[in-house]
Amino acid sequence: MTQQTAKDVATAGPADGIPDGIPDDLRRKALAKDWPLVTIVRALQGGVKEELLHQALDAGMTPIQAREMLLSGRGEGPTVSMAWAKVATERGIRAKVGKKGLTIDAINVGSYADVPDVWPDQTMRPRGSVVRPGAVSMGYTIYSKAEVWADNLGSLYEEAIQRRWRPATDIPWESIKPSAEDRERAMGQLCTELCEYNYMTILALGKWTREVSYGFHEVKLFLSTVLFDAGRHYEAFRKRALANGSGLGVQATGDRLIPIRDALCYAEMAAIVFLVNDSFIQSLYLLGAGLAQNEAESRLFSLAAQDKARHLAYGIEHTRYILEHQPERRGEISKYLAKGEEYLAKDHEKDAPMREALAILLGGGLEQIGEGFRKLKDFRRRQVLTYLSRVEAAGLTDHREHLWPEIAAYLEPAATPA
Amino acid sequence: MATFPSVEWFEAVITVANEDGRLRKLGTCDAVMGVKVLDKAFEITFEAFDCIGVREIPSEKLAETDFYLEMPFETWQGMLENIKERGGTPDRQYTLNTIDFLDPEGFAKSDDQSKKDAFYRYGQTFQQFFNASSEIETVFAAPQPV
Repeated sequence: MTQQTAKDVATAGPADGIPDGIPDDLRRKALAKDWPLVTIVRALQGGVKEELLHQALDAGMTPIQAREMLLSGRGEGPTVSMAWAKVATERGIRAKVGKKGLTIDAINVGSYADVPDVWPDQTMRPRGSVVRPGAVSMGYTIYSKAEVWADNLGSLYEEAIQRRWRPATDIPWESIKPSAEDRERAMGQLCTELCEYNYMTILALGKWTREVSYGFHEVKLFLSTVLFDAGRHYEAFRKRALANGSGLGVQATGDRLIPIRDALCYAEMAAIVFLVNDSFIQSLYLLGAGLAQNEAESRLFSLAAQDKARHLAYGIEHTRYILEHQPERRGEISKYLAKGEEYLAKDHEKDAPMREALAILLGGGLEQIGEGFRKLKDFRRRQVLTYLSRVEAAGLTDHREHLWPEIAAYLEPAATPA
Repeated sequence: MATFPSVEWFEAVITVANEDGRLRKLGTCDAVMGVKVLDKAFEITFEAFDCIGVREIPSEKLAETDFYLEMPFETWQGMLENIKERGGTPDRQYTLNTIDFLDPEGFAKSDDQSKKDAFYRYGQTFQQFFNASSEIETVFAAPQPV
């Protein structure tokens, strides 16, 4: 059947002189856009509002697009019910743009700010949207807010995005000059072990991030940045090891990684990663920055320390949240910390390459390694004191009494030389 | 020309630090930093992308800052003179991180480690802040004990 065009109708007027019901202004617009008037007629007869047809014409929709949108193959009746736009989600939200732009915390407005203590949904439904019956389960295992939450998650996520850096171009690699072989090999050993730790972080968080249900999207967003940070640190320390002739050193003993790998619940993993290990790793980053021999090392370790401080801020606030909302778990969290400390102590005991590398860096070279070991003892003491300060800030104010013995031993004053 | 330490000196540094987006490009920073030089104490506030103000405070109010930086007047002078001589990029022994690491008590101080960690979390911002002092003329005058 030959289709009647707008021009045909305009020339002939309404077919057979019978009025087709198209208002004049709509007819003129359709004519100008070369739409088949039969499409307009059938749409109007099917109940499509005149206003919607004007909008479609004004938007530059082609006749074919209009036909697909307005008419179905089933008798060409209109199918746009707009029921999806009438569901009972909260409307009228106007999130405020602040000094930092439109942040993830700023859009937590009205009912969208409600983060339930237990998320009831196993699907990927975004928080605040309406349940679609029949949506499939995603197999999450974490539905308890206290298990994963911290009140600073939104701001930490935004900060991670804002303060990101690029190892390839933000580090002045060219400032690294040839240096003494002992120092360079020690730096290579330090970087090797930092690479390994960051690799483990990627592995652990990759596993646990998927377990968190989508009701706590702030957690997933923040953990994603930690994953990315760990990837960046792995990249950056590997680059440092390979930038000046040293190359990588010996693999770490890996004891400290065992309880991270074996953690059976998120809170256990979080305590061991974000409080125990991250605190000791942060000290190594600050050692690297403090003893930097060139601008590249200074910048590299300082930027990594910035990221690590953010991870620690989550660890502290997360622990506070658990203790506030589930105070009965205090002893449990203490046990997780002790477990992390136990394996860390094993690591320190067995890892002669790292001990010697740190002594060389602290002493200023192989010839001063004796002085380096004395400084290492002071360094370990400071590491433990700072770690304890963080644990106390998290709310475990009596943890000093429960510190793993080999870690507590670092706090003993050095014997006075005879 | 501004005298270190004084509110005027910090205000001059803030003006330089905020211009041409040098703090902004480092990302957001929310922290209240204290500075203690002999008997004088200052509170410098960072918010979002800028340093938004400084005021002189009694020393006992330093506990209300996130952390405060304290070292002998001569060391402050040495650090700032080195920053000036090196055009805003200090020798490594004069960076904030190195000074902090080599000080057994730590250069940054706070009774609350979770607040003190802001010193490390925004370290590059604070370094850039002090580096901006290379663009002003500084006169050093040790505060007299009161």
